[in-house]
Amino acid sequence: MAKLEHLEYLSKLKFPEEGREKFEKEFERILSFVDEITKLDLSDDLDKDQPIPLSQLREDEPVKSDTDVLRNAPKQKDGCYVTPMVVE
Amino acid sequence: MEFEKLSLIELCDGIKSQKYTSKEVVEYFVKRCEEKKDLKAVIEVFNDAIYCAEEIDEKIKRGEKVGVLAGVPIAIKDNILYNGKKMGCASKFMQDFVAPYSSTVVEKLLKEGAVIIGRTNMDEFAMGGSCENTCYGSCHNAIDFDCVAGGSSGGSAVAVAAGLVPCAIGTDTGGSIRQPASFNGVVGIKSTYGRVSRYGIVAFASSLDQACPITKTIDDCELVLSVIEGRDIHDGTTISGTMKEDYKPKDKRLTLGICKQIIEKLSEIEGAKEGYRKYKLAVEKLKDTFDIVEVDIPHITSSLACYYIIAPAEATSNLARFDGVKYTRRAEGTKDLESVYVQSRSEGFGREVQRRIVLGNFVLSSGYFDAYYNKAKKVQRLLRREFKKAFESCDALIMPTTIGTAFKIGEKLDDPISMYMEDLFTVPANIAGIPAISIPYAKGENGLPLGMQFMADERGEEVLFEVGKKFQETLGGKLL
Repeated sequence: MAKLEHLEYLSKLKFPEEGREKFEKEFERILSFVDEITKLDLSDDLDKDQPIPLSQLREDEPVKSDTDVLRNAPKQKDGCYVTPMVVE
Repeated sequence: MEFEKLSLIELCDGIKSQKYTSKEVVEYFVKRCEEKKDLKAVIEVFNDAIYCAEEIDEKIKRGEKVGVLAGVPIAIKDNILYNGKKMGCASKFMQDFVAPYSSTVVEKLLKEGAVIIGRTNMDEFAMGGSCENTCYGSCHNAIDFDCVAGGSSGGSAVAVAAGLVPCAIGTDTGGSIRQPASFNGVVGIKSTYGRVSRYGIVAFASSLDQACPITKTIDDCELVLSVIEGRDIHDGTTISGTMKEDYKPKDKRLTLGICKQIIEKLSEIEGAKEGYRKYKLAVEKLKDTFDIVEVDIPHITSSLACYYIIAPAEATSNLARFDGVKYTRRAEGTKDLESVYVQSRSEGFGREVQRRIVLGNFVLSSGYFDAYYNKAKKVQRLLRREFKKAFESCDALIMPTTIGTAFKIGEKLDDPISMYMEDLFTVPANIAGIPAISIPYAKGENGLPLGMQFMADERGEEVLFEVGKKFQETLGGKLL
């Protein structure tokens, strides 16, 4: 298994020291549970099937939204999300 | 009048014919929600529900045309947007979130006159099979308070079973409607993928999610699904046409398929003895009503592993938006953008959600993507072919919804694999994109209900309703 630190980095999560070992053990068990998939020998012919056909797609059109998308932001100012400074 | 004893359709008729008013009905159910608060099924009753009911009553009094659901209360799961109302996905992360618009499902219910009465408990972000992973506290089974509600739509199923509402909308990604419906003795359906719009519903695994009704009767289920179905410009995966249009009645007896691999599995599982016995009993009784054949779906039991790769992979992308910047909650004491992300997510998400995010990132990460994710997608294609083939020889498949009856609260909380096994019989329908319904049919020795599940080919919801009604007629309204 990839190192837990790497997965934390990809997931933007940080697990506390306490319970880390338990988490890793559980995770190993889950992986061995889904592992049966990797052992199946399947035909390449399957790649042609499209599981979810998209029905008619619409054209993208810019519209003025009347939805206040910022309304749920923890911090906002002048119609923008506020974050800690990202440019030095 | 004891309104909780009536079906949704009976309530609709009573309101329309002015036997009683919508206000009386809604007030009655609001009171029941208050009285049964301990169940933790309905976590908020909307304060304008009675006002909405009065408006419907006025319309009826004036003789105006009203919709097919006029005046009946319906609850929605806590991951479905209703403009101006709180929606929390049972997550600490989202507790201050107010919906900025309504989901298509809610719009359609409102258009037909339904009164959205409140929101129901669930597993956080719809991840779980017990309704214990929730920031509101575990939801309790409607029949046995010490047992789980099932999940993730546990609150919706318990609300209907305990008579707090005549109908509640849930969502089903791997069995989240059917399993709690089975655990609480009510009817729950998952429609064909694309039948119901996902617009305005918080995404878990977008290629598998469907929102559908939980009700007391099959007729109620059919009515509500016919209201919320349909192509939606806001969801490119919705399909055109209706269930009725897709239905081709047959003039000969319907054929039920028993999946060989499911039976083998059922006979192997230690905790499934009682369920298996009842299942065989039911199938025996059905021989007079249906033709019964055995079918092969060789990889059906690989659905579960396939699901626990595809669903977390999609969830990890869908949940990336919860970053401490856009929605409601940001951790205190962060020093830079990275720490805003990491701390907010680590504090905001519960354990099971974090587990699935990590799993999703693992199966999508460099070096593992082909072995896990691509392979699972391939198995999914294979399963779709196998199901198609199975439906060449039968109209519907018959199998149990769950391994057994509801388990005790806390029993499986520390054992994720055993919790995942709960989805064994429900997950195949999501992976194959086909409709499936759970109908109460038996009672365990502990007095708790068991559901029977029927699956049909895609667009075959009406076949399920027809089969389901014949099934109930055959059992003569009794539980086995």
